[in-house]
Amino acid sequence: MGNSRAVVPQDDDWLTALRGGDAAQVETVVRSLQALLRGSLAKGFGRQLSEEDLDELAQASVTRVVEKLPSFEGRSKLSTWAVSIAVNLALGELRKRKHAALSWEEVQQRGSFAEEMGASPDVPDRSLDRRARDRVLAEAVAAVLSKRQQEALSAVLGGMEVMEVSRRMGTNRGALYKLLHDARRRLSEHFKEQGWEARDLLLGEGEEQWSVEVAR
Amino acid sequence: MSLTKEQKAALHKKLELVREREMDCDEFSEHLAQYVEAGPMSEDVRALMRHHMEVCPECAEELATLKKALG
Repeated sequence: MGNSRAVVPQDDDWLTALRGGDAAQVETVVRSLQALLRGSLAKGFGRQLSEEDLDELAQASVTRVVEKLPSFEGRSKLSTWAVSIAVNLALGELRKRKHAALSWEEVQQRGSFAEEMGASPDVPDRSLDRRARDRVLAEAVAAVLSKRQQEALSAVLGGMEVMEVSRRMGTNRGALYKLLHDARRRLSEHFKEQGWEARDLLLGEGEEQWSVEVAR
Repeated sequence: MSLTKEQKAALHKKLELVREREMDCDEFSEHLAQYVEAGPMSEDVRALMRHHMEVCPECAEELATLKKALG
């Protein structure tokens, strides 16, 4: 995945200064970069970010850009790359705020696979079907997924975004994606081995039609 | 408490999209600037990015926001 691309002249000047310029040159570039990132964040996020947020995020983004500079390969303009880092940082902050009031226990409960053991007496036959499917799913999850995979999957299905789940689980989102990818693959393979169709198990076709019949 | 119908549908979609090789969120971020500039990129990487966005709406949102920020 290593297509290299020439760095455009304006970015070249910035790069040269950041990588080996004197203190005055670095300061000038840092100031320009901070202004660029602040303006870009304002355009990208509008009212979601306050003036204070923009100042703080632009400053934090410049720090992040400088830290990551050794890994910059010049496959895009430096400015585009820097803005992508700022956007990522800002989204992380907004997602953290969005989920601040949501406890880990709550999100685990919302995305729990544990089937409800209580009866659903009004609809015995179809209800049993649904409960049987839920049980099969819960057992499959318990049988093939690690505890950490179960926790991550429940959190995502419980409505928490991957970036925030990874933060709460003390990992990064790339590693979390790999964990979830492996979980999805294991579940798919398990269903195939058992001769189950994920569609039948998860979509429960016919339930809506049956509900209409009961309502009549 | 068992999963709701919507949660099951979301899980079903994620299972339908399982591929042997998938791009993770960090790899997606690494290629994002190049992707948004439509710079030279192998079709393999481009396809992995498109697939990743189907599985991960957050990264799709990141691309959309980046486009707006650069716009």
